[in-house]
Amino acid sequence: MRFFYLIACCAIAAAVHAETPPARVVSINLCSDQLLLLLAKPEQIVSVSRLALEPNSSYMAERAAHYPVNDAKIEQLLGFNPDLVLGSEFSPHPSIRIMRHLGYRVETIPLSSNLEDIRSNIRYTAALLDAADKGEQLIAEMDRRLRQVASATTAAAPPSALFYQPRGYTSGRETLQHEALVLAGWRNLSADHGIRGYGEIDLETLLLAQPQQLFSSAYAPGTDSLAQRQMHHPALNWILRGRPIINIPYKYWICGGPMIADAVEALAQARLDLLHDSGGKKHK
Amino acid sequence: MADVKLIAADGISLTLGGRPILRQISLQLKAGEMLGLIGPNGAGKSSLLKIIAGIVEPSAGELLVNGHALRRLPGLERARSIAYLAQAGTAHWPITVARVVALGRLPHLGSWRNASAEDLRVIEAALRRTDLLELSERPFPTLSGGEKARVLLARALAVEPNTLLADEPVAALDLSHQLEVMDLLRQHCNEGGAVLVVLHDLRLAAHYCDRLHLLYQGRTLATGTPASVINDANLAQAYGVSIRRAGGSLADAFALTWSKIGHSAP
Amino acid sequence: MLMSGVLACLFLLSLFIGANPIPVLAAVMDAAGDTQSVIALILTEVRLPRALIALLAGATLGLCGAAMQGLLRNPLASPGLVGSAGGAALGASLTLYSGLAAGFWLALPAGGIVGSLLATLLVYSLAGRAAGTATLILAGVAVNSIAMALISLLINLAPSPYAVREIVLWMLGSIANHSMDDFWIMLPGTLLGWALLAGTGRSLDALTLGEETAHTLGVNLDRLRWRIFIAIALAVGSAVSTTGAIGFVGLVTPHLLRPLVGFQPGRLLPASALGGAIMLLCADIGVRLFPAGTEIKVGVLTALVGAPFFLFLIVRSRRWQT
Repeated sequence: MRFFYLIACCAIAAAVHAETPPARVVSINLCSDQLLLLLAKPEQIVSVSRLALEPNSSYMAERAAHYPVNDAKIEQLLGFNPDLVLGSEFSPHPSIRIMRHLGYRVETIPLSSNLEDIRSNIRYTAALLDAADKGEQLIAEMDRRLRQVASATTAAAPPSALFYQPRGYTSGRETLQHEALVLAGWRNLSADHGIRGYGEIDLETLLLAQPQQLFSSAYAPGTDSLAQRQMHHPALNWILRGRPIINIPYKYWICGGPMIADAVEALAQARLDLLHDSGGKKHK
Repeated sequence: MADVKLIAADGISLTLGGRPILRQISLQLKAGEMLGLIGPNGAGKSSLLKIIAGIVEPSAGELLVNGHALRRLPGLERARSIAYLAQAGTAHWPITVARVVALGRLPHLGSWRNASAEDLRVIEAALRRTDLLELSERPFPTLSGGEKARVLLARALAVEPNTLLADEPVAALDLSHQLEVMDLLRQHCNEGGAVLVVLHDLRLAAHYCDRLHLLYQGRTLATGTPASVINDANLAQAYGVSIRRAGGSLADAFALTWSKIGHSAP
Repeated sequence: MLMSGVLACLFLLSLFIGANPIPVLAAVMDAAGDTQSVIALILTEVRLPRALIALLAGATLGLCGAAMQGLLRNPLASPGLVGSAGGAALGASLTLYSGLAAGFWLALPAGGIVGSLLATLLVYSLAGRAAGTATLILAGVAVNSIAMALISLLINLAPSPYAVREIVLWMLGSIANHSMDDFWIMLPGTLLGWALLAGTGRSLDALTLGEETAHTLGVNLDRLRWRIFIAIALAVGSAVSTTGAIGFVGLVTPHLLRPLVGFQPGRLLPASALGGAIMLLCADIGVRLFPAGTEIKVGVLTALVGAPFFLFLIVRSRRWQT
């Protein structure tokens, strides 16, 4: 898989270099928005998707506010007269097919489920935008922060945790949440239970696994639903000994990008707090 | 006892949707008496019966049961003194004959009391009297029309009411079953009860009833002994028919000319 | 008696069956003693509320189905078909997604109760007092569709991003992932509804002979009708606001048991309550026997069993008519 990406990157990079760098880029997907806003020169960006403005989902919401938004509608896109349209492989929009058919250049960015995907997506997008140096810079900064967390993490037995979201959703192997948990020095119990990707964990299994900490990445304050009620089950409170479920903003990983470092740092801090708490209790 | 007025209706009127159904009907029913309610279709016979049964509220008039206003009588007390045998009655679930008849004891049981030995005795007596003992475990829907009519009558008898109101109890019955049912109603009167019965067959009415009450277009056209009610003028006005006398008297024309084999006419 | 025994066994069995095998007896010892163990927690906070809610909801559906069929003298009347359950789901989801239920714990069942009562009355007034089967079902289908359409509208408008996929929970019903809190929330309305229905058996017996004759047997029909509608609203409203509209239990249970109680509507009430509880506990145990993680909703199972039975009833009633 990784090999394929390398080849693809090289091929694209070669192709892109042959042309002039794109000057009018439109992104129609939240994830391509993030990489575009991180990598492109401000004058290259013509429009981002509407979701890019939403601060809970969009890491780059502040910067996105400088640009006109689009709803991925053909009429809008044609009006921007783009020389590059960026989308996501994850959510193929009918507009992508039509724009291609009309002769516009459309590139889609693959989904990332681990650090290596993030790095290759950054390189891939950077190459499209003729910003390879900026890409390497972002990767280096991300790696530096991750190394810093790793060096502060003792090799002692990692405490156990898992992600528990409304409706019992959890993140197993091959997810950014799993990657971040492990990097921050946690043991992901969902992965231990053989869950790959995103799955559901039932309450009994969760309780039997006795996680020391639960994380959530749901953000919908002031709203209610059956799914959210599940998060208030008294048994969860008991198994965590009254410690609240820690919420990690989902803008850190709804799209793969260097902001994963923010999540890892937050998770590492939670680990320190846990060890500090249980250490304190032992002294008493 | 014979002077006690079980039912006393005075000036009963009923208007439905602006249309007068009954106008100023007055009638009385004494213990031991069988009163026949006759009249053409749409005369208001069934409506009057439903008013006396407490099912329909009259628009005007007073109705006394054993000297008490019917409206003020608690439901169960009313149900214990007046039984109602509906026209073309049926049972909606396939329950057994014995259980249909046992429903007649509900006014005595209320919501919680279980049937006592006395209740069971009354149920058995009602079954015996209507000759249904052998059918008592049969599901109701499997019975013939005549058997069903007897079961529903037995149910009404099981109430042990003072007054029995019967709406066309012999409609759809053959000759012999008609006599059986009428005999049972008569018997109820002989034992001190009273019967108010809607009849279409004037011969049965003339033969079995002590008095008749002829309704026409919601009004009382005539009331009194069968001989005084059934005459050419009344029948001509009420039914629009003339009577063929075949050489005999008027009484002969309305004489019951058949009887059950083995029974002599009462 | 036999049914009570079966019910008790099923109740115990449902404590033993879960996503993971746990030593139940040890858990009981832990729960009874002061030891706070995980297995005791699973027993008292996960399995016990689930079994109790199945018991309460099943008994409610069976009881209310029997009462409704007795009142309307119509074998196809049931909380699901007549709109009581759909209305309850609508009322409950209204309080839930508006955020009202988060502030005030009684708001959820209260919403269910009001919704159930309004829907039942709507169907009843649409179909009329002596509704034939066809009219009743048509009115029920119409009101149910309105309720479901309004629920999906509500869910689309709901501020919570998680609401979107919950239409299934309301339409089919589920009793997984509930806590003792949920049980205590549904308990008062349910018990009140049961208590109101408890004294109606004799009146329903009398209704076997039709409304007029029942009246002359001392039954106050207006009062009976209101009593039953309010009781059903209380019990079904409370149950559905916790479990969603679990289908077919209220329809099928009275049918299966009617011959066993000699077709007497009064005796059918307690039998159908027990039967409904047995049926839902069975269905819930069945659902849990599927491998963990693929857990299907209990309403899916009751619909899979109940719908063919419903079709069978239609076919049989058609044969009677011709």
